[in-house]
Amino acid sequence: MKRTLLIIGGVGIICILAGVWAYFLFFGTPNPDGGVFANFNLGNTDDPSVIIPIEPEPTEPVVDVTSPERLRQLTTQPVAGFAEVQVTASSTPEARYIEAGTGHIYSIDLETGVETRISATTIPLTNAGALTPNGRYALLQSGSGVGSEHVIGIISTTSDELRNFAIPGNITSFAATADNTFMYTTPAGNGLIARAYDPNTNTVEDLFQVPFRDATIAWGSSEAGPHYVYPHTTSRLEGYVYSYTDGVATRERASGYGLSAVGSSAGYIFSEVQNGEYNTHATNKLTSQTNATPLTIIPEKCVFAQIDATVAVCGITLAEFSYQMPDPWYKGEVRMNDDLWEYSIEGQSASLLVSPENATGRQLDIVRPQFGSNGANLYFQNKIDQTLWIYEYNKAPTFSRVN
Amino acid sequence: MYKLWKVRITWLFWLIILLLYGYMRLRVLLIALVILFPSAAVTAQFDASQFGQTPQTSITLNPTNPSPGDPVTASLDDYSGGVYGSEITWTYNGEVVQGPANQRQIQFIAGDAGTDTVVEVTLSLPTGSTQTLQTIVSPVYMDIIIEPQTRVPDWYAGRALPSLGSQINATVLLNDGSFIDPQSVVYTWRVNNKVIEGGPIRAGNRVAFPTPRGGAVTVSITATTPAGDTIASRAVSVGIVLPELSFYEKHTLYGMKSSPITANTPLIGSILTLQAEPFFLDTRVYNNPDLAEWEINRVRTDNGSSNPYEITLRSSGGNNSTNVNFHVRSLQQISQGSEESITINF
Repeated sequence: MKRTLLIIGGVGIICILAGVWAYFLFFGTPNPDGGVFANFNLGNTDDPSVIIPIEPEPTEPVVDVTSPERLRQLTTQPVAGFAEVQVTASSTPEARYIEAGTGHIYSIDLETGVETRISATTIPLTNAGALTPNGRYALLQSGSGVGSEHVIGIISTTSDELRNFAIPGNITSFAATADNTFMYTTPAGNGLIARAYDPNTNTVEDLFQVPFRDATIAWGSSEAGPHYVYPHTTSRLEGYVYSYTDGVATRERASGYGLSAVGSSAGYIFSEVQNGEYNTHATNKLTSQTNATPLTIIPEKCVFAQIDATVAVCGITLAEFSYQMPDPWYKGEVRMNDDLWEYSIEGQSASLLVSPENATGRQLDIVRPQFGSNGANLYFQNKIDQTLWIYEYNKAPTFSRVN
Repeated sequence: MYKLWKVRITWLFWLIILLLYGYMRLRVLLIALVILFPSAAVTAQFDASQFGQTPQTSITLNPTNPSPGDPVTASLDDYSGGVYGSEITWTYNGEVVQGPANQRQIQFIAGDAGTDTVVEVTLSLPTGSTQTLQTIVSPVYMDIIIEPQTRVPDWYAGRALPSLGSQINATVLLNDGSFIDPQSVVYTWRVNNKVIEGGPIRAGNRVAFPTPRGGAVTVSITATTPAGDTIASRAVSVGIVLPELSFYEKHTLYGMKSSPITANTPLIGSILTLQAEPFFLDTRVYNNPDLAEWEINRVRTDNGSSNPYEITLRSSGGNNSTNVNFHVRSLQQISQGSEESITINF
């Protein structure tokens, strides 16, 4: 055989091999479902012991809203913020919440129980948030301390993307108003300045100034207030309560160690350590009278009703409180087993609404109580696992009375 | 030349003699005046009325500068003896105070901030004449806000507490119905009865000072008008604590859990990120600790993180317990530090 023929034959074989390689490269393997490299031989569906989870259809309810129980758990995952939303006057109210950690926003239809993710934009380390009652805007905090960031999110009605932008500066406290704006405080000089941000018009307005930094703000439901302000609470230092209405500060007649407060236009509830005991008082602003409450209340567990400013709903644990309160509770060293009570500062009486332990078998440490848009539903979180709960307030009968 | 000098010295001699004569005349004149008019001289020096020390009758309040809502005692002080045998009638904002007759003191509750309460006492003397004394009570809130510059985590709703050597920021707020402008007030601050800031300061309603030694520090403030009239005066005792260390589980997504880890805390999974939280450690020490050491089963360990307060533990398999120790301290201020151990059961 001639040497030339051998070379031509070799080149031909190389060309054929290159063509086969190019075919596999561009058109895949000849057998598309072969998957020999993906098959790890870990069992197959013929095995009867294998349970294949069935993903729920998105249109099926995930929250039981038809249950006769008035107290229900809405989420199993930690929640960073929540609100009851009514997109239009005729639409069904929805419970919306911001998932902690991811910043994803979910909506639960309160009639059907269907849960929908309305924002899939991830904002890592989200740990606090607020939503406007019209469901259009969210304010999210991610991270903590000096590394924290705050973003305004615009919720889309057509996609699950959250358009967002950061708010510059250090925000120490924030809340949404019933008028679909956000209120927040930011350091200014030796104190804080409270501002209102209207995401609709992208305008900022100064509300009031607090002449010290370590302030807790119990926000009212509107920009006008009243907002109750007091130095961060500790049983070892004295505190004082100030209310701000229309930007005007009023020093309330409440001061003492371990002092914290919550209030409305009709009055306020405050607790403090007196003579080695943690006690609670309520002040009726109409009569300027202050009386001891029949039960000891941590004010952070209370919210005043929208339909009656003299009535507060509180998570209350019927137990002896340490003279060091509320410091151990803030640190997480003490857990509460709360019942929901209604307290009237006018009638100076308390009525039991529901005992979560009796109703659900769960012990709840109630925090961040908040009424829905029409005052019918009460939402709150369990401090232990940050889950979201709902209580149908308007349907509730009262069981007992303590005067 | 010699003659000229002689004349000059003679003139100087006579000048000195003249000055001495004048001085002696003046002294003699003064002594003569004192001898001739002794009462006038004594009166000029010790006229008590000029100092308000003439025995008199007055109303005193206790406390002198009450806060709104404070219980107040008004007393009739009679140093002149003129009240003896008198009928005493008290009025409060024009209304006669009911109760036992002829009391020398009454109790009442101070009104709201920004309101004036007129307290009057009328003395019907045995001679038939009457004397009326009056005082006006204008309650003012004096709030002393203590803001210790020590570490508490961001999620902690409580206030930081002072530890030895840490800085304390203190603010005083005066309120007589609205916040009084600090520019119109002179503040005198005392820490453990020692005046700080070099003395009274106008508009000095905010000070910073280091936490002294001891179990507590007394902070007192006197607020006066620029003319020297006292507006309010208060003192508070501020307890001093030692830094406390707690361990919290830190989740990658959710951040720190709200309850500290204890020996009984159930842990899920084989990896655990621990955050050591030194409550009430001076923020300067927290941000730049001289010593921040982790030990696992008594062996010093590099935490492998840029955050000295964080460590990630991985279980080596099976049920085991691990002793974890963390120590943070300033080497300049030894009491600024804390050390704590915890047993982790995987």
